[in-house]
Amino acid sequence: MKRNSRLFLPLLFSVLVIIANTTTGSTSTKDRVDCLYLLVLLDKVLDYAVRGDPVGELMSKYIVNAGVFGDLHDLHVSAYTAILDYYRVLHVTSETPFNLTSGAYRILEGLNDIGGYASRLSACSHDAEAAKALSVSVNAKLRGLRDLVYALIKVSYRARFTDAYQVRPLKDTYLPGEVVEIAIPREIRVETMEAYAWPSFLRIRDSLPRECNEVYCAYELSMPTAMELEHLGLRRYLIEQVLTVGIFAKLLNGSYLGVYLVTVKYDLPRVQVDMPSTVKRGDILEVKVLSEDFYNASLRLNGFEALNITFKPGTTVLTLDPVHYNYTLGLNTLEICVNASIRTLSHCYSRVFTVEPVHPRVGISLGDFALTWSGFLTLTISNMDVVDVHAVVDTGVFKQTITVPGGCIGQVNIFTGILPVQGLNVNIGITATRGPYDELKVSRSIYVVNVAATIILTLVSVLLSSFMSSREKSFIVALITAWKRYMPVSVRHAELEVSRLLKPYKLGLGSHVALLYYELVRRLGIRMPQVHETLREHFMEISRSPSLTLTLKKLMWKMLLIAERDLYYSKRPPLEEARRLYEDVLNAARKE
Amino acid sequence: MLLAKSRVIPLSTLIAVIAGLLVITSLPSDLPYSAANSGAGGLHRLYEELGARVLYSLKDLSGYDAAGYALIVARRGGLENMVGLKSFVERGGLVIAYGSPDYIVGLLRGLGVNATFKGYVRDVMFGVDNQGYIVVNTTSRCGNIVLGNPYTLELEGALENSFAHSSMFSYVDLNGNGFYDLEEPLGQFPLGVSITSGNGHVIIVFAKNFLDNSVLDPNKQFLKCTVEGRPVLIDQSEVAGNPLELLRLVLYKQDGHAYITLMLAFILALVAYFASWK
Repeated sequence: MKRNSRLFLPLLFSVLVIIANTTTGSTSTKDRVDCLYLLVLLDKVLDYAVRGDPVGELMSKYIVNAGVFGDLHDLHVSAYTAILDYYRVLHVTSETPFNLTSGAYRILEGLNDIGGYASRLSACSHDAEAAKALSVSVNAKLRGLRDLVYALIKVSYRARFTDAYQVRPLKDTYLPGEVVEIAIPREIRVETMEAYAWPSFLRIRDSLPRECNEVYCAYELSMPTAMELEHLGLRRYLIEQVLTVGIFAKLLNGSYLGVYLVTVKYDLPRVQVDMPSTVKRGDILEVKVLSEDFYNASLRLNGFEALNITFKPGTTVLTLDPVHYNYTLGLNTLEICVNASIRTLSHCYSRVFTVEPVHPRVGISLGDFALTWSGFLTLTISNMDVVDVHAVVDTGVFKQTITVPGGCIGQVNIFTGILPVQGLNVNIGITATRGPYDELKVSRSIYVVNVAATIILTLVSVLLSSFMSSREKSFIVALITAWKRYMPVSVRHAELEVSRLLKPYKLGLGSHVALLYYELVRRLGIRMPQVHETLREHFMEISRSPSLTLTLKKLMWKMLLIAERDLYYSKRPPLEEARRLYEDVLNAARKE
Repeated sequence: MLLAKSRVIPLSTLIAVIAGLLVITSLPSDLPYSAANSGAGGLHRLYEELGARVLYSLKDLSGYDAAGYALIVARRGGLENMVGLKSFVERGGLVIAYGSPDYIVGLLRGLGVNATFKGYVRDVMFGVDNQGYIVVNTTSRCGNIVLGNPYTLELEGALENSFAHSSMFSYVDLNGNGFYDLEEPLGQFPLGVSITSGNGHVIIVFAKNFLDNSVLDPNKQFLKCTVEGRPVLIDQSEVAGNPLELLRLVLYKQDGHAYITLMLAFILALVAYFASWK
């Protein structure tokens, strides 16, 4: 009955497993930002904004409040706030030029935020090619928007500027350092003439009247040079190397009068840098610089200033000796920074080159597998170079350093341990005593068989086995109960332990008939004999059960007698006889 | 003994199967659109809060005075008894249908509108918690709705019947990758149509989730306003195809009393059975 009751549990368990599988919960959706989608929306909104379409404003109002996750949130908000600012300025018609300009200046700052936001979206888009194409479109629209804002302010200025002036020379674009002469009628009572970087309103310089006649007073203002521009921190206001300068007249009553807006065009240095992308340790690095003008420049190697040079028109070849310039193994950065001059802005040309290592020529004899008698292994290092080398051999537990002269062979005896088989990691570091050599590091994993240890272990095992063969049972009992020696051991517990260990013998080890008898008992659903019962005691007990018929009892008794003969008699009964009887019992059971 | 042995295994199996069935039916259902399912995708709240009646088959519709009822049909697939449904509408009944694209396309074709599935609609700007739910504008006087897993269809000649559309920020996820791709259309898309047939009409919503437990709250007002006080019937013909779910629904309709009695009786029988074994 106990055996059968166990059937219920696996069945119930199976049902519960099915239930568990049929009632699993739904999967959660992971939060993620669709950058390409946001980039497309930005492109659409900018398209509307450039055309002055109010749909762009409506869209921006929704989008600015959208829940954009993660670190994009701040950029997202500032970009769309800038677009909304732009629309706000478009709506304003009665602003003073200074207020309008200051609003527009904020938009221009905001356009940088939009550019930054677009770059971030492009970088995190799942489709890089599509994002790249969209970025081009977004940038074009941003340029359009910038031009619009500039135009808007210019128009606003023009409306409030005086036309009563004369400028010499009158040009669209001036050169850096070029002097502009402005003549203003005397009835306009001017204190000073001032030049401002536009649209930041950072004052560049002012000028007192140079000379006055009966009608006009003349003023001279020189346009800022590239050096001045960089010194004043105005470079970020350049658009394609062009700076807009606003010329204002400060009147005696303290107010300002806009006079003229001029543009100044700057140049970038025209220099080409040509150098190899890879050099070997110790090699001289040759850098060719093709220049179209005279430029002062500095050369930096890995961020450190190495030398100052002046380039002349033509090709200048720089040879960088490794003795003076300490290259780093691997990637190195060389920068040539051309200084700002009157017309030319500063610019840095950066090149990356790789320095490859040079190792001493050394041979190491060490295979994947080695045999040893003593536990020591000989490692041979052949130095094929002319310089002496130091070799450090390290296995984790053993370390030794030797010096191998140029053209010689050195040997190191490595202790591999006392185990019969051992896996060993051997790390060898080889450094040259002089010259531009890098350290050679070699790492090998080898298996070492210690023959002596293997033989000794085998012998000890054989001796132990022969010694234990006659004491097997007591050894196993001792082994199993040993760990419980600190625990109170009851007599009953010890009996159970021994009976469990000796179970195979009680089941009639070696008697096939007895095994057949047990099988018969099991298949008839009768309880199995207990440890303390003899077969006869067990039979007497079960034969009292009314479920066994007389025929079955007789057949079982016959089977029992044969099993006893097989177990205890020197002349064993034939197995076929037991098998026939086994079948007879089963047939009789089936009929009933 | 042999007889005893031969009985124990089938008896254990029977007990295990009954126990399994009872445990399964006692566990909350997770079958979408089931009135016994109190999870996100079920109609349990619709059934309880609106006092709706459950229909195990659409054939039963013939027994109702169509003009006085509103029928809610939500299905994962398969069109069942279109004739009965059409007859219900033509007799003045109101049907609100939503579910899988396969079902909605089939339903529209059954009503004479040729429709093709275009793709699932996503809308980050009008999305709710980034979980696939979006707020949708309707032209109905009953207000806006929130849809889960909405999709759009290519409709031939029924666009004028469209009463719900996504925002200008939505796009159709044609390849189903969950991200916008350049070739995917961006803009407003129809998400629901209202079709008149005979004396009644059918409101079809292009979404997998509309009146489920998860989105019932924001859509309850729309539903109440649309059904105008008519008693609500819930079509459970698809769900009832699952014998276990049918058992759940039947027990569920008895307020759970019969079910609890049955469960207790079984547990007592089980205890008695094991006690007698010992």
